[in-house]
Amino acid sequence: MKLYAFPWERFLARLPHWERLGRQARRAYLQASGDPANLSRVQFEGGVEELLEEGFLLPHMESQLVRVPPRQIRYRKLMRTLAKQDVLGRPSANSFSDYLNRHFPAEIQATLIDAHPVRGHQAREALFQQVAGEEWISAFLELTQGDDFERRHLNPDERPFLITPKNLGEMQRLLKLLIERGGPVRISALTGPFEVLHLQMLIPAGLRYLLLYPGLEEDSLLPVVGLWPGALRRLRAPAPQPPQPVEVEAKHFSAFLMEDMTKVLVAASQAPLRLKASDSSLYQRDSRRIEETLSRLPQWLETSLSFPASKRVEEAVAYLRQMEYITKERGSDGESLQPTDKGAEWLAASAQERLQELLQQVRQGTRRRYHKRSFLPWDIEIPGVKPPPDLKEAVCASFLSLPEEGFFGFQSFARYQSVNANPLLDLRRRGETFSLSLGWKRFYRPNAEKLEQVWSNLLAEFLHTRLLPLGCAQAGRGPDGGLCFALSAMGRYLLGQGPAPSDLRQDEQGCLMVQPDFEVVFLSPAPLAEAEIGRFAQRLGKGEVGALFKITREAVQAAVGSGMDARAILSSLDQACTTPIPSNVRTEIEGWAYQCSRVKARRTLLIECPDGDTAARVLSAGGKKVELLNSTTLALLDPAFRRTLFKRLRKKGVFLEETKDT
Amino acid sequence: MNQYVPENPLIVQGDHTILVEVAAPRYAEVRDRLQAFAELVKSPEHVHSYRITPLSIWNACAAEISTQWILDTLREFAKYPVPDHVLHEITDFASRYGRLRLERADGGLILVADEAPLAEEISRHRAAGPLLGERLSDSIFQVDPALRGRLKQALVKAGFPAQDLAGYVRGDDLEVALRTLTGGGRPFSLRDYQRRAVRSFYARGEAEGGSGVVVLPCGAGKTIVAMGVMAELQCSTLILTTGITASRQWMREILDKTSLEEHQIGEYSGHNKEVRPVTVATYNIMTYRRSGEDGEFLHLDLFDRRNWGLIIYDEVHLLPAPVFQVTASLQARRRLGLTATLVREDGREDDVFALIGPKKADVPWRELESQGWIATARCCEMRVPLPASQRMSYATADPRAKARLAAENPCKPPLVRRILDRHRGQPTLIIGTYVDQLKRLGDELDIPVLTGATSQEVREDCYSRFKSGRLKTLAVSKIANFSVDLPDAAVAIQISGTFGSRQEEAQRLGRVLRPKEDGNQAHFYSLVSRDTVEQDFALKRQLFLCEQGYKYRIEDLSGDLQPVGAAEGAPQ
Repeated sequence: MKLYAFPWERFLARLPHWERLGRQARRAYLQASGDPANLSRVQFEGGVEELLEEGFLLPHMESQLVRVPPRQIRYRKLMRTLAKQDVLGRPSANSFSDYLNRHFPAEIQATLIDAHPVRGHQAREALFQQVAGEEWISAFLELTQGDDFERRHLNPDERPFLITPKNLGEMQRLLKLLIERGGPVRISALTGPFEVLHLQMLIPAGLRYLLLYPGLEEDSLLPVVGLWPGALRRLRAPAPQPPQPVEVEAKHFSAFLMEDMTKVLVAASQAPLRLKASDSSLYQRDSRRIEETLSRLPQWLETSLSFPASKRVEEAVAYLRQMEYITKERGSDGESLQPTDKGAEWLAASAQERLQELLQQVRQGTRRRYHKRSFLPWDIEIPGVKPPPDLKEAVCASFLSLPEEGFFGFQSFARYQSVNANPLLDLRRRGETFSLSLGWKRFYRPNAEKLEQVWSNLLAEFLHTRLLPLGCAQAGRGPDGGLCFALSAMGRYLLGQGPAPSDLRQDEQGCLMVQPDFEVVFLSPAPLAEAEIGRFAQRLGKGEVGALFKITREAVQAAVGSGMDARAILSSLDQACTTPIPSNVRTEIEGWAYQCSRVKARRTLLIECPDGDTAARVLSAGGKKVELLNSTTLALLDPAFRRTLFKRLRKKGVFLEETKDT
Repeated sequence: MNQYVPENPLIVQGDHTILVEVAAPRYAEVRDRLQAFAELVKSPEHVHSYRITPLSIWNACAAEISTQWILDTLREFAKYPVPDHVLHEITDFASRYGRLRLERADGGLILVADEAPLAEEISRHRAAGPLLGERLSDSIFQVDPALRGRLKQALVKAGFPAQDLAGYVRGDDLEVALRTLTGGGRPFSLRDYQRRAVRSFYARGEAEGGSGVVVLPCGAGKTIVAMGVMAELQCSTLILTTGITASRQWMREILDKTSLEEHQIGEYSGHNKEVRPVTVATYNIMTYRRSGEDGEFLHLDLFDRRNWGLIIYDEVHLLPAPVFQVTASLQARRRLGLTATLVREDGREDDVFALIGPKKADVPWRELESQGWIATARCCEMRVPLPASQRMSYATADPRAKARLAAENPCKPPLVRRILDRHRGQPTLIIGTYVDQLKRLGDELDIPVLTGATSQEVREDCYSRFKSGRLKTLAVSKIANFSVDLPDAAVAIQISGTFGSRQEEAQRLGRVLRPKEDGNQAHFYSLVSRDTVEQDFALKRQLFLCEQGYKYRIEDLSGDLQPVGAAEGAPQ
């Protein structure tokens, strides 16, 4: 049904009758099913008399049935369509697309799209971006005459609506009234401000040009018209103000990504992390084992970031692989992740050095690829725009625009930046027509709202996956529970403002101590020290303060196994702690580290001889490639020599007794 | 994390643990308060840990400490805001105490609930329900006096401890007074903390007192607190101890410090079966069965052989299960538990709470040490390698044999000599688990060795010579773990132990904690074979001692000791 082609004068004529009906009668009228010429009275419950009285139904002369008057069949269809199609109540790209498909033939849709023609779902997406933005309305409000507009958007065989300045003016007045009211308005309420004659034209015109959308009020089931809700919201929204510092209720500061990477690397040093053949991800058991060792973020932050421990492990693995600290090795039992020498060096470095190396990597990151992490969390491609805007620089500029001191609410920051410092929006303002690609997502001719949303999301993702996990920003919980942040000195360095701070702990006021019972107690939060100590101590507590770690033999030996030594461990503790390390702890750490040693395991072939004489013959045949283990047993050191050896032995009259292994 | 008050000493964590920063300005103030409602878990050098449990809160409630006071204390002294759920849970725990009361009515016992739904819930509880008698009203049940203890046990496990206000039987009268001069002629009076413990237990003779546990470190005078309680109650008393040596020590102490005379004090043991106004018995004799595990307990009727007004349980953390069972039926008698630690290795702390009573006093070791009431102990672990000749035998031995090989490391005796030289003239105990090892060492050093097989006469003689200073060094087996009173030991050398038992470590350390006349300094050495299972066990003991706040030093003696029996094995 073409809504815009409906005879709206008939609709307006029936409107007073519809309003006189009770709610139950209206609902029954819309819900009744079956042949309109033979409807059971029962379906209308108690509303049948009202419907008969107002002329929506007629009685059958020969039965108890009722029927819809033939001239009202289309009217009823329209009303039922409005009831089902709640495009104003649930506005989305999908509901828009559905609305468009039901009421606008393809050739009409094509007339509505500005600029280059596009097809299929791309056309609907482009049209949605075009008409769901506030620019569609505001541009219309700026028209001084309708001719040109209609010429662009009507088929030649269609009759124009806005042929006179009066019609255009009334249409603009209607739109302004709807903006002023801030939501859908009952059509009956428009019969006062507008003459019915004009309304008969304004409603179909508004619908035809996707300026207006119809619907029924949910409770009363009275017909309404309204602007696209997103566009209306933006038309009414005040201009965003620069973000102001806020007092936060809780804070958290840690470079937890570095700590997570450390934990994964330590785990990989203890035993290779096996990978699933299907998708090269960690087995769940290994992943969970590592997850249990991770520091826990405060609940409010975890919720804000939606950063579950499993994702943290995944992220840490991705960075470790990218930085070549672990590498995928193929063994007899499948693929596994194993630390590299570079990884061992990184692990042995101080927290400051490790973080700096990580930041350096992020700063240099270029384009994101599978398993790779670049500076920006997403690559936004804008085909056809030359030169493309420098998004990295724009993101940095956005964050660096904040004053150095204080916390800022992310929402207000993002709102302001996405309107006032949005390079994508600037392109549009310059009149460029373009599409965006974000990974597998494509946005055709995105409107201002979409561009603001994309930019705001990019800033959010950058904060969530780069600044906060890397200790480049402190997180805070604002008075309204929203996420706030404050850039740290390290954050400014990451964003390209100034050199790397010489001491990462300059912001930390952490007070921590090692107790003689090997527990490391944090009396105040010290995330960098946490990252430092996490390399050689077992995590006990999940909070920010308290007995967070216990130095155990297993943890120390794992750290030594991954490249640290006792001196490095003790030096880390000396630097981090505010009290001297108890002597028994010092002695034990040295002792545990001393106990560590490495053994090599390799496959070998044992040759068992019946007597010493045969063993001597085997030894003479094998030379240096065979080693005598005891008087009758030898080991073949070089597997490649096996065939040759057996051949030589056969010549000497020593024959091989076949076993399963050989 | 706003409202951060760095100078405050507490961090209250979501898992109900409380960390206390010892160096904080208000530490002393909060320590005394915390003790009232939280269990001290450990007290290492810088930060002490306490834990709030239902039992600790019920102990506080029993001591009439208000919930508000607990909450205010936490809020006032916390560095960070106290987690809301902790405050709620404390309120919840506390609200459960006293909702059920055991009272006396018409010569019988009744259980009174504060509201009918709770009474209903308890009546349907799997363990508590069957122990209740007739329901007298919506919220009152009759209780069989014989089931008083079992019901209390069941209610604690159900999470609704009953406040026992049913009172006690008076017991036979006995005139007891504390002396002002001991039998040896030295001035004697209760120390302040002992007096407080007595007062707290006695509670003016009212039903709120009369049963409970006094926690004092070894050497702090638990026996004296018990005598103070006896002097307040003036009634016949049954004392249960861990062994005959401890029993005799009790008897000597009572004679030395109270007005009681020898004929009023009886020993009930394998040797004697005297039942007198004050009778001292051992747990062993009480749990002795005629034959096998199913046999009848022959001596449990001692509890009924006299009208005891007070039963004292020495080392209550070792109370054996059969005595628990009997204690359940002795709830009408006053009960005093004495211990250095409420931690039971079998985890039955809640039974101690239900059957003996709530904690009445608790003074940490460190506090008494700082006040000079017990000696300052220096703990030192000395590590010696296994001789090369034993390393392969050790490597291939089964776990039990490994422990023994490590314990009997022949490099240890020269080290014992070295320590004895270092502390020449000071009374020294050498403590070990393996009798053969002790005997060899005894022969080598020419010192007596006391084991479980040593006759009582020989033991008494050795103790007497040791105390008088005529004997400077004594080797003892596991008998040293329990209640042997050796007041002048200043040095203990532990040459082997039982798999890192914390209880054993506490008892052994207790041997040297009594105050010293010269410098009040005690030394506690543990000899450990390096890179063996013994080092793992030693780590557990090390952790325990560090948790208790003792300074712990490790000396690694590689290569400079020659094993006994080696060619150049002369001790250095």
